[in-house]
Amino acid sequence: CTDFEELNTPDNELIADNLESSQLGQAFAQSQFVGMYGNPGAAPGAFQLSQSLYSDIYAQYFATTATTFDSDQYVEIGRWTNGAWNYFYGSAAPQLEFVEDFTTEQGMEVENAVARVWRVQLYHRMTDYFGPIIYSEFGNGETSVAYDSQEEVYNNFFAVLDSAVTVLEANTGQNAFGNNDQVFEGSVDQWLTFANSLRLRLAMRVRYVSPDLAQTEAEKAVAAGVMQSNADNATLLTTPNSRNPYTTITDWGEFRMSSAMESTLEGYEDPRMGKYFSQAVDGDADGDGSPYEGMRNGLPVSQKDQSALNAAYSDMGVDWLNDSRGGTNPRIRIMSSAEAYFLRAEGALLGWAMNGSAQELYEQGIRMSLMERTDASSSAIDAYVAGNDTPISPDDVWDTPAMTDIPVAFDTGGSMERKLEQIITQKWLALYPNSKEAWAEFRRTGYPKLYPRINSLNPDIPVTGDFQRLTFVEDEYADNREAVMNAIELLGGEDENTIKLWWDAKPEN
Amino acid sequence: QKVRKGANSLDNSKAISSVASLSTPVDAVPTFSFSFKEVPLKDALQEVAEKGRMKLLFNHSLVLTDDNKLTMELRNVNLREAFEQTLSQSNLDFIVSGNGYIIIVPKLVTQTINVQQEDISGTVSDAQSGDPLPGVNVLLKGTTTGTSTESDGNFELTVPSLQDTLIFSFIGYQTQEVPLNGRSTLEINLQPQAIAGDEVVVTAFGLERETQSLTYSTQSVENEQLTEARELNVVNSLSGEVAGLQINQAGTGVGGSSRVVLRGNRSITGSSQPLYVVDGVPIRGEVSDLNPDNIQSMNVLKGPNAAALYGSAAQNGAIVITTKKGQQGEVDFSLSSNFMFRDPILLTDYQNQYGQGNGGVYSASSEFNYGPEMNGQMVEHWSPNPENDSQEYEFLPQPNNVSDAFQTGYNSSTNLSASMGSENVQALFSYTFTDAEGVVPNNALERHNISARVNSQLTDKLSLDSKLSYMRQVIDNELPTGENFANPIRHIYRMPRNVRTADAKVFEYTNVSGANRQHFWNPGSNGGANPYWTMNRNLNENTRNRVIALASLTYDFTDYLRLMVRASYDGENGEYNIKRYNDTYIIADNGYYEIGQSSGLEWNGDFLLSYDQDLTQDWSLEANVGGNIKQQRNSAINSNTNNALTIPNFFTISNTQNVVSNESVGSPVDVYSLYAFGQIAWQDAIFLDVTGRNDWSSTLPADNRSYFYPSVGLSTDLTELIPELPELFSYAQLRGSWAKVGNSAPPFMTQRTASLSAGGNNGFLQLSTTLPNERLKPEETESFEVGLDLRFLDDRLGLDVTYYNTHTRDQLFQVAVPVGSGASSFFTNGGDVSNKGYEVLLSATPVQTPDFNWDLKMNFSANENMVEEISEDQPRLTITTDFLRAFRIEEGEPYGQVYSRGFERVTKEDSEHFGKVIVGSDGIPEITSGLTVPVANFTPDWRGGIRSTFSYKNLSLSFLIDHRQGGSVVSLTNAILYYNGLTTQTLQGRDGGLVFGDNIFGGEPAVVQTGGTEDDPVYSENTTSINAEQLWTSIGGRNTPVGEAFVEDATNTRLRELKIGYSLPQSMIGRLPISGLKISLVGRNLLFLHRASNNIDPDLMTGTNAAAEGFESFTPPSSRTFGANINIDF
Repeated sequence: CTDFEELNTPDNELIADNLESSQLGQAFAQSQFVGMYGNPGAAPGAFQLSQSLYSDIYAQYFATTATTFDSDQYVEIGRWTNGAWNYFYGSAAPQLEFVEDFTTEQGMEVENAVARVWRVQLYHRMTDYFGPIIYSEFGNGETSVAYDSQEEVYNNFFAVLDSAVTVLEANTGQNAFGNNDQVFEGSVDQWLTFANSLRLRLAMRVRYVSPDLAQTEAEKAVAAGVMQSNADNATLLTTPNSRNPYTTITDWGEFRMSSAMESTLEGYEDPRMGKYFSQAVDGDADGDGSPYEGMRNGLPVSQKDQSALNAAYSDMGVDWLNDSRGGTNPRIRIMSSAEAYFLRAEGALLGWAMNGSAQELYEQGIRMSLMERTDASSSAIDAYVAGNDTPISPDDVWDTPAMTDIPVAFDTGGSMERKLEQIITQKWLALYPNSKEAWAEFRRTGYPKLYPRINSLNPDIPVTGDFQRLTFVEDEYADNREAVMNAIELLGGEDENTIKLWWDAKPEN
Repeated sequence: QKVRKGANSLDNSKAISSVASLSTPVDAVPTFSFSFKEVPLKDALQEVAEKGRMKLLFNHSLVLTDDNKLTMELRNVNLREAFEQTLSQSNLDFIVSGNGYIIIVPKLVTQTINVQQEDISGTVSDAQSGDPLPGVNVLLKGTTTGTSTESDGNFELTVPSLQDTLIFSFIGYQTQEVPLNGRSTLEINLQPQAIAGDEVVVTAFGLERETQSLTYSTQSVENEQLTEARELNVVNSLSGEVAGLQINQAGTGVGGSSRVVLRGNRSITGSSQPLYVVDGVPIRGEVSDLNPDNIQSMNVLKGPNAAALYGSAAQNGAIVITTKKGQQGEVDFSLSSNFMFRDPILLTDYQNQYGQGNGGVYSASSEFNYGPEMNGQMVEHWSPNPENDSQEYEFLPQPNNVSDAFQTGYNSSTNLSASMGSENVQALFSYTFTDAEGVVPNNALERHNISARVNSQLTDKLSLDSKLSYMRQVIDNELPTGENFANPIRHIYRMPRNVRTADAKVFEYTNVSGANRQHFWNPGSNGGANPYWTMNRNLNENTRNRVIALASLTYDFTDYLRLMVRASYDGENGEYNIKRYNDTYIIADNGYYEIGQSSGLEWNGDFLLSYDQDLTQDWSLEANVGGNIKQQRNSAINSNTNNALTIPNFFTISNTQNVVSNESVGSPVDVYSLYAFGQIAWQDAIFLDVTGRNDWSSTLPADNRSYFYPSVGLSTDLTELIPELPELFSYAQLRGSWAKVGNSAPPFMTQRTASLSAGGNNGFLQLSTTLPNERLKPEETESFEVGLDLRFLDDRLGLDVTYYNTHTRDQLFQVAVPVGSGASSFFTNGGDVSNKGYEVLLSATPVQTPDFNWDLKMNFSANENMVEEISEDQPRLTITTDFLRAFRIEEGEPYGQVYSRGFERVTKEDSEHFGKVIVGSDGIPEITSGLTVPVANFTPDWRGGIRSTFSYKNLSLSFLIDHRQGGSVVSLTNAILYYNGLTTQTLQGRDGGLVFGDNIFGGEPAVVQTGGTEDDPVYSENTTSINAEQLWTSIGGRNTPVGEAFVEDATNTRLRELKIGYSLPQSMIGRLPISGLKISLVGRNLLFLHRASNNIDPDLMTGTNAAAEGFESFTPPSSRTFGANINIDF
């Protein structure tokens, strides 16, 4: 007779109850990769659903050429976001929760602190999409899981960072997770710098809704030490089996450079242009002297001749293309020193203790980005920083004007808003293609001054209007209805794309 | 109902399988003793027959009316003597048939009458098979003069006049009166006829039962029906024939599977499909592998009552297949050949007015058909091949470009079989070669079936039944289903109306850098492709080898106690590969290769101890105790090249930088069972059945591992019980039964697992998203049924009615929990799905003459399906979701609610506009944001079929019409074809003028908000006009189609089968070295007599799982098959 227990236990899987600490690193690794970019395999569906079809085009890094991608016309496709939500909560969050619980039980303090910093990194991207999210109640094992308001979630982020930083500071020089950690190979020192930088990012996010909290947290972060050189940058390892999703997405021929990118990069004669984008297949068809071409967002189906558009406009730079087309499967960007400088520049603008002036920090941010992304000489970088060129008109079939009139050179005599526009616009250029952060900052500040859509299919949002958030997903309405209804109350009573998030509170001027 | 066809097919009639050869030869030495005291003759005969393990066949009226009570002492007689003695005081005689049958017939007295004598002679044959019939009674009407036919069916008789009339009668056949009309040689064809109560059907464990003792409803289909009008998948032959059975074919091309459901869906997340049992043993794999030539009969046990004894697996009913055995006698060769053409029935109404483009403007790369009218103007050629740069062509409709992409396929099969046997050993060998081509080019099948069966009587008491069958099948280019980008159907159906076949057929070209590229009007399209590219450059091959083996030993301890032990194996190995050439856009821009292998097996070990004895004169008992060990194992591995081949179009797994491999350990299950069943019969008129079975399943937690389930049934033969029944009734049976069937869980549900996958430096570990349940218990189906089987006017008219009611409770399913709970679902018990309904079978023989016969069989079934309960937490379960629909199980609704987007409607009940569609100021209806509107449910109201058979002498004609009433499907094909402007329905309003709710969707009055506030809107009638492109691109398409606009009524009536058969009369083949020849012309699925749906065949599905119901998505066209069948017996 067969042993029924043994027969009913799969040979090729581990039993969750029996996992050992030596297997913990692989669980953390999973939460790192899947948490950022969904499934690691060849078909980056999760990335497409959660980022490519939303923030990538709402931050106007790209415009879509595929006829059926109506999100570029402000239509939220519920099934897409449903997938995005499920990939995060179903595939990434349980592993992170498991790591946090396991390290708590086993007294693995350092690993626990690292995992908690990572938790903030993952969840802030979720709340910045939806507003209220499942956060503190995650993993309750119940048939109803309550949402937390965005304010509660952000408050908790700061508290979590406090406790994690305390542990990390006490353990500098140590290592957690070894090379299972795909970001810093386990370096506690680097995790500490990242934790502080993340605090700075989140602090600035709540600047308009909670100025005091913002200042306190931002100053705390800078005092504790944020990223200062590109060696501090946080990026995620890619391997042949856990690829940068753009290397596949670009094969699908669904996105091209946006007009906003063309207007600024070309206007500034930005050395990043050739890194960020490829020359259009049709070359300089519009005769503006540059073979890099951008298209407008929100084209109606009738104007979407996909193959013609793909040939006329610029694909991503060669790094992000498939290996067979010269791609390098680049590491995935999480945060860079350039971003930290731009955040400090904004704080300095407000008179916060940022350890530098707004102009110094702004210019340092640009330098960091150019050093990181290009091989421009220092003189070329100096020239760029001092440049007085402004964005150009893409000279296209839509008679698109220049996106804005700001130069790179910091407008010391300009208004606070003009300086802010410069800082955020340069940050937007530096963040590419981390559109989740760029879109959040666009919503918070209104910068860069992105183009209106050519067409909107969303009756609630005109072409000049803004898409503010994603609505709660179908599966949650079906499986977690009561909690969603409460979450809608947290949001103010309506679950719409037009509802501003809690931190989106910049006064209208 | 089973029709008995004369001595040649009367081989399976004993109560226990394979015992026909066990019957004691009538003249054998072993002798018997009997003591009869005041015993009715019938009972005495029965006793003699049973002692000799013979089967008694007689006409009730003949024997029952004999009131004589017999008192007789017989000592040491053999069976022949026993029968002779027993019948000596009656006017009856007996005939010994070769297969353990004793047939009681009237005694024929040859009288010498002093008048003119005429010698006549003739042959009697089976009208259907053409086989000669031995032992047929030939009686001179009005006398007791007669004879019976010899083994070759011939007879000779001397009659007073050639104006006399002869009566031919034989058990299992309609009696014929034949006036001689001056003839002295006759060729008589007897029509097989069902004999009330005496039909033998095969039930659980290969057990054969007479229908009069069955306490539940069954229906069977014979070999001829399976082989003549042949289907590639034998189970499809049941379409329209069996009440309560629903068959839907999956759209995967030739060799595809079918979804079979008996008496409605009952499993919330399981398959609801029946168990297939071959020669008493459940099989694990595809039923389509079985060779129809080898199948003696298929018997459908419809409910759990019938199948209680197979346990868990049979809660959805069982289809019991009996394969052929060798026959005692000379070597009998037969050759049959069947060839059928397969022709697509294209149902889509394509428009042929507007070509590629949008907004009335031509675009060479458009996948839409909202361009200008096609009037022959010269337009830019779509070809991306630089050689064709600046070419132009005439812009004209290409009405046949879709049909050009299909071909006439065929099915062909050839069977050679040989049967031979001595008294102790009988063997059957059979080989069939089948090949087929689908209507989509390159979709083909090749199948070999080889089998050998040997039955042997090893000793007086020990017999062996052994069987080995081997099947090898290769399918080329099975069609991926639905909106899969590799499904050529998707691309064929979407051909723009102006694209010329000749241009599209050039599916590839070499570009300037020497690379092979796809030749398509919209290069790089997300979801579009040249259909010829897909057919020729997206290839797959699927090979399956399968072995079914069985060995069964039976030992007779005494004539009433026997033991059977049996081992059986059903195992298969499969392998497949998928090749996609580079430039297959988003699914394989840089080429793709995948290979996989799988294996699976099921072992069954059984024993069965049987006791069968008359307890008293009135009471008889049959009791059985058995046990079973079932082991199921399967596994699979596959590898693919991920998203890039290094060297283009060189298909090997190492030709990549990144191999991805997967391993599956499958679903290992062991079930151990003990069971007992028995039947007590009183006077062969009342039968009481009781069964009980206990299973121990490896998949359940230790505490719930063991579970018991019983059944009980009662059948009464009213004709025997109530002698006062009017003459009108030739047979009347009332039956009823109750059963409960348990079912265990899938494996691995009691522990949470974690899996490893590639990624990062050392791999990724992921916890399973389904939470385990340590308290799982078995699910159960409880079923009740009653039935009445009535025959009138000498069985010329028959009515069989069954009512059933089943509840499937404690079902095992996953309850979705919010993913935020840390898992996506947990496994639980709960729910209650009920099915109740009627099945009616009506059979009639309106015309019955010696030469001409008309038989009618009708079946009707209506099933009411209801999800009574799911669980306290979840009144609704979502089984699957895609772009068009969500498939849900919902309390208080029939199984399988299909939800989709719908039109926003006025929801204020006190509004005069309540329920009307809200249209935006742009004239386009507003759409619900999610899949919130129930739009379709596949459950039919009723189904029915009529088979009508006409036979004239050796010629027969029969047709089958089958009808489905009610139920609906939502069509993604329509949503996309309308969106692309391809169908005639999109012609209206090309230049505008469509007013929603008025001249389009006129049945949906529409309003537009003209004032008021959001909470208190003021509406007025919609008058805004839009054009067809605006409308269909808003509500159709792939990503956010409005399912409510694309619901199709599934009601349809079709001519399922038509066949004409001709058996060459003996006189014609007498000089040929053959003993029989039959030719038939057959057609299947010939045409729709009625179809309520637009553009699609509602009965074709994307797959065979429950969630495929009510959803249509790029299934290949329905196809008609027609051809010829020839059968030669040597």
